[in-house]
Amino acid sequence: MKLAVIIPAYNEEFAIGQVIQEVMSANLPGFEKKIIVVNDGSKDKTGEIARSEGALVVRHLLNRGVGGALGTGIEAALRMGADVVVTCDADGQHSPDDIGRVIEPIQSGRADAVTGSRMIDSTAMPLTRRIANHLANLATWVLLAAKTTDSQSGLRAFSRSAAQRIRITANKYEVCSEICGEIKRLHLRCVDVPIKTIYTDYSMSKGQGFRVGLRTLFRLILSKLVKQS
Amino acid sequence: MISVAQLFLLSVAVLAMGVAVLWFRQRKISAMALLLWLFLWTGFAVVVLFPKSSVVLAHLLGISRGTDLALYLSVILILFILFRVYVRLEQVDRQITQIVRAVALREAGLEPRESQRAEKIPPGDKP
Repeated sequence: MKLAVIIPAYNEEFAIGQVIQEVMSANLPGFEKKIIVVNDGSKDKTGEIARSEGALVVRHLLNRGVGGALGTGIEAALRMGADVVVTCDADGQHSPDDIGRVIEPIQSGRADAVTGSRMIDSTAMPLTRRIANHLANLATWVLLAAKTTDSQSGLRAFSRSAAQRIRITANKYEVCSEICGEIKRLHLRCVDVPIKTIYTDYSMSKGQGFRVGLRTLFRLILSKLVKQS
Repeated sequence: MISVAQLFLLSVAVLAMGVAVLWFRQRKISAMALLLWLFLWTGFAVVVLFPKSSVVLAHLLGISRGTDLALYLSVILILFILFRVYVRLEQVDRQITQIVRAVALREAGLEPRESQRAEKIPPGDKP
């Protein structure tokens, strides 16, 4: 089976090299692995580093946000003929061992979509982040009627047919909730799998802080009011 | 008698309507937008010429002063315009993403395969 690991990256030159190496070294028997880095208009050496580590780099001329980058990555994976698509954050917060855990339910045919959930065992998560993630799950449930243990997760897996059907229109972080909403709308079989989160000062500085989180919520509410086209 | 302030506000209304007609002729705005715009500025001109008329309308709606009514209406109008601009901006943002995506995939040598293209374009429709 062909597996495409999509890593959206914006100015991640400090972390991207190691993330690619770790994904490369992950032991996934039965899978032919391909790493797609979507260089989302980075102004640093993210693209060069990713290429030298052996990833396929798809370059956005302008920064579009994580949603835009994920959409491009999924399209690239489909065009390369991937059977399974995995999305992975570029900041090093995921453990490469967990890729195997998120693709297992798809490999065995139990699910069309898998969420790597940081919240099933969230003891290592800082309290503020835990509260924020609970609030994000609540917002996703209220606005999109999608119940999930971790709406904001970056580590997900999709079968080819699920990846083909999911429509991504959001450009920024609200894409995480949008994906949950799409899983619900398309009645995809979805499984939440517990994953580890590696919180470093670096990964804490990336991702959504309080202000970006609020903006994401605002955009999510407005996107409900705007006709999707 | 018409005061200086009234004269000034009236000329603003006439100018705005003139610009709207010009834009319509240059096909910059739709007929619907033109009508809406003319209607709004005509209402504005009526209120400027006959300030008492706004009081009548305000009383009908349970508002005591005509100026208050004008204020409420303009805030509602501005919020509506803001929302319209937001929606349009969002659309443009998504269109830019589509262009950036198409360029990125082409640059990476990932154009849609012939077989995939054939699914979308029925035979005979090809240029």
